[in-house]
Amino acid sequence: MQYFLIIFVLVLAGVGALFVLGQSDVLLGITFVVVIVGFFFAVSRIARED
Amino acid sequence: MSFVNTLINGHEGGLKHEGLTPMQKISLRFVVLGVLFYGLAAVEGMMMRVVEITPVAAIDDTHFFAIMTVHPMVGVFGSTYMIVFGAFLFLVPFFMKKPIFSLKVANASWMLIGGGTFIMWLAGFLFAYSPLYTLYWPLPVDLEQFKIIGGLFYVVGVALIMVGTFLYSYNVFKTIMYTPAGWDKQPSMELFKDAIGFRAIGNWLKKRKTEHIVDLPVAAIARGTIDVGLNAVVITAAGVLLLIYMFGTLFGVGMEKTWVDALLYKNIFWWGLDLIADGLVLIFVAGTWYILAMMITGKDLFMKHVARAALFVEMVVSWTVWSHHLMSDQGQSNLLKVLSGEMVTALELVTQGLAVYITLVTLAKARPLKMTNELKFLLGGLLGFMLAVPAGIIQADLGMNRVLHNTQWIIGSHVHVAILVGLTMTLYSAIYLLLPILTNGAKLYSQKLATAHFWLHLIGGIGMGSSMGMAGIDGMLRRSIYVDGEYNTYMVLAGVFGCMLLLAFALFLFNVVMTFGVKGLIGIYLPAKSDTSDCVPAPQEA
Amino acid sequence: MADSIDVLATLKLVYGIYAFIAISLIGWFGYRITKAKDDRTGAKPAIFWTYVAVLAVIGTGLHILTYNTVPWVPYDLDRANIEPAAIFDIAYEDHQMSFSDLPMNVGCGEYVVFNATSNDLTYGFGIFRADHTLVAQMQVVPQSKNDLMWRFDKNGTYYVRSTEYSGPQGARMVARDAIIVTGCDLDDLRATTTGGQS
Repeated sequence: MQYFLIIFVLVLAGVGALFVLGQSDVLLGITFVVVIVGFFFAVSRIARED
Repeated sequence: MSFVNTLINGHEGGLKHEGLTPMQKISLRFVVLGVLFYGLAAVEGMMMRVVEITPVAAIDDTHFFAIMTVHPMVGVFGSTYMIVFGAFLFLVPFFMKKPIFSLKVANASWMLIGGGTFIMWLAGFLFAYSPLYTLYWPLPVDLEQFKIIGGLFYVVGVALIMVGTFLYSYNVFKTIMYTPAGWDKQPSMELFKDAIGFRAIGNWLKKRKTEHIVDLPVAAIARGTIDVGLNAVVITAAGVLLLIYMFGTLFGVGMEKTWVDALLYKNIFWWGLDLIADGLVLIFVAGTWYILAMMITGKDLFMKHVARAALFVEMVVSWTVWSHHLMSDQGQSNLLKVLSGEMVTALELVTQGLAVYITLVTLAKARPLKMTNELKFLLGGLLGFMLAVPAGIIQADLGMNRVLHNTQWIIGSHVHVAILVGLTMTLYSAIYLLLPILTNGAKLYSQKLATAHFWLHLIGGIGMGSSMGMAGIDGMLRRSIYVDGEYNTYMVLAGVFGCMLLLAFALFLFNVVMTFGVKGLIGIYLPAKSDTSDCVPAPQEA
Repeated sequence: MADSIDVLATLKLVYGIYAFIAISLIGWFGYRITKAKDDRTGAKPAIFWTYVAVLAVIGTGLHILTYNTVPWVPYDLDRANIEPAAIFDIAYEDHQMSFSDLPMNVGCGEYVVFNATSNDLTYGFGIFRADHTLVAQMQVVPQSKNDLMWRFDKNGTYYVRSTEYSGPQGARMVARDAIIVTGCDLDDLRATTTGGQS
C-alpha cells in the first residue's frame, strides 16, 4: 500500500509544482528528477512488502 | 454449418469459454474491449475524414472538435492500453511461470479503464467538451466555451482510467517480485533491480558478469511499466488541477487562470505524455517485437544483451526528450530546445533502429519461415516505425519544426503511421500469435479475411498517413477547419485510405466474431469455471 | 536564400526516396524470409555496430546540417543579440488578433520581430502565402514571450492565421494581407494579394 501512498504524494507534488514553479529550467528539471526517483522508491516498496 | 450457426457458436466449435482459465479470461476481456474501442476510434476517425473533405451539416465545428478530443483518448487508453495490459498481465506470469499476484486487481483494471474510457467519451458525445487531448492551459477550464458538466465527465473518466492503470502497474511489479503461497522466498529486491536494469549497471560498474533472473520479455514489460506509472502521475496531476478549477468555479471561489504558468504546464504535460509516445510505446513495441521474433522462430534473440540494455536506455531517454514538443514555443530556452528537443531525441533513431535490426536478423537467421499472419503483421509493424520514427526525428529539428509544427505532417506522416501501422500492426501480430494460446486452440474462421485485413490495413495506414503528410508539407494545419476545398485532393485520398482502414477492421472483427461465436464472446465475461492460477489449462491425461 | 518552399521540397524528395527504400526493403525481406537460408543474415556484430554508429551520425548530423543550411535557424537561436529593423506587436484575446500595424510593411532582407502576446488562451502565429503554404509559425502562449524573428528575401503579401487550437471559436482566425514585403529583386510567386481566404 505504500506504493499507492507515495504515488498520491507525487500527484500532489505535481499539482503543487504547477502552481508554484515559474519558467525555470533548473526547477523543472529538479521536479522531474524528484518524480522519477519518488516513483522508483514507490516501486521498491513493493519489493519490501513480502 | 450455416452462417447463423457459426455466428452464434463459432467456427469448428468456436471459443470453448467453459475451459478457459481465469488468466485467459482476463486477457481476453481486456483485448475484446480494446478491439471494440479501436473500432469506435476508427469510426470517429472516418467522421472527421469526411468533414476534412467537405463540411457536413450534421457535424458542426463544436461537434468536430469534440470528436477530435475523444478520438485519441479512446484510441490510446480505450484500445491500446487495454490490449497491451491484457497481453502483459498474461505474459508476465506466463514467462515467469509464476501465478499473477491478483486476479481481482487485474479484473478491476479492465473494468476501470474500460468504464473510464466510456465516461470520458461521454464528455465529448453528450456535452461537446472539446479542449483536445493536449488540454493546453487554460483551455480545459474555459467555461465560456465548454460546459462544466463536460469537464467533470472528462476528468472523472480519465481519473478512473488512471486508477485502473496504477492497479495494472502494481499488479505487474508485484507479480515480478512477490513470493506466491507455498513457494521459497523470492529475492524480491534482486528481481526488481534485474527487471529494471539496475542490477546489470551495478555489476558492470563492479566489472562483474550478470546472470539475469528476469527474462528479457519481462524486463521489457517492467521498464515500459515504469513509464506507464510516471505518465499516470502527470495525467492525474493535470486532472486534479482541472478539478480544482472546476469545483472552484462551481462553488463561486475566484480562481485566476494565471496562477498556473501556461508554458510550465505545457512542459510538464508533454514530459508526461512523452512517457507514453516516446517511452512506453517504444519500449513495449521493441519488447513485443523481441517476444514475437523469439516465439515465431523458436530461437534466441540476436544480440540479446544489447537489446536488453537498449530498453533501459530508451526508458531513460524518454524522460529527457519532451522539449521536441516545444520547439516552436519561443519562451522555451534554446538549451532545452537543442539538447532535449534535438540531440537526445535523435537517440531514439538509434534505440528504435537497433530494435528493428535485431528483430529482422533474428528472423533472418531462422529462415525459411512460413508467412503466417503474425509474421506478416510483425513486418508491417516494423515498417510502420521505420517510416514514422525518421518522420519524427525530422520534425524534431529547429529548422524543420518552424515549417512543420502543427501541420498535417505531424499527425499524418508521424503520429498516425506510428500508431496505426507501427503499433497497431504489432498488436495485431501479437493477437494472431496468442490467439491459440489464449483460446486453447480456437481455429481462425477465415484465412482469406486475415490476408485481406493485412493488406487493407497496411496500404490504408501508409496511404492515409502519407496523404495527410503531403498536405502538411503544402501548409495544411492540424486541428483546423478548411471549407474552400484548399486541400481536397489530399483529403479525398486520405478519405479513401481511411475507408480501407475501417474496412480492414470490419473484416477483422467479423473474422473474430465468426471464430469465437457470439456465445464464446459473451462467455469471456462470465465467471471462470476453474479457480486455477495457471495461465493455460493443464494438459489432459490421455 | 532558401525559404520554406525549398526546404519542404527537399524534405518531400528525400523522405519520399527513403520511404520507397524502406518499403522495398521490408517487401524484399518478406519475400526472402520464406526462402532457404544462405550465409547473408547481417548477423555480424561489426555490421551491427557500424549501423548503430551511422544512425547516431544521421540523427545528430541532421541538426548540424540544418543549422548550416536552413537560413532561419542561426538567427532564431541568436535573436536576443540581433537588433531588429522593426517590431510588430500582435495581441490575441477572445479569439481575435489585433495588430499594432496592419498591414505590417517589411523591407527586403531586414530582420523583423513579430511579438505576439495572449491575454487568455494558447494560440498560434502562422505566416502563409496565398496558396496556403506556410512560411513560418510560432506558438503564442499566455504569460510568455512569443517573439518570432524573421527575414524575408522575396516580395510578397502574406496572411496570418492562428496555428494552434484555442477552442471551436478559434478554428478560423485569419488576417488577410497582413504582411507586405517590398524592395526585393525576387517575387514570391506564391504570395499575391489574393491570399488569406478564411
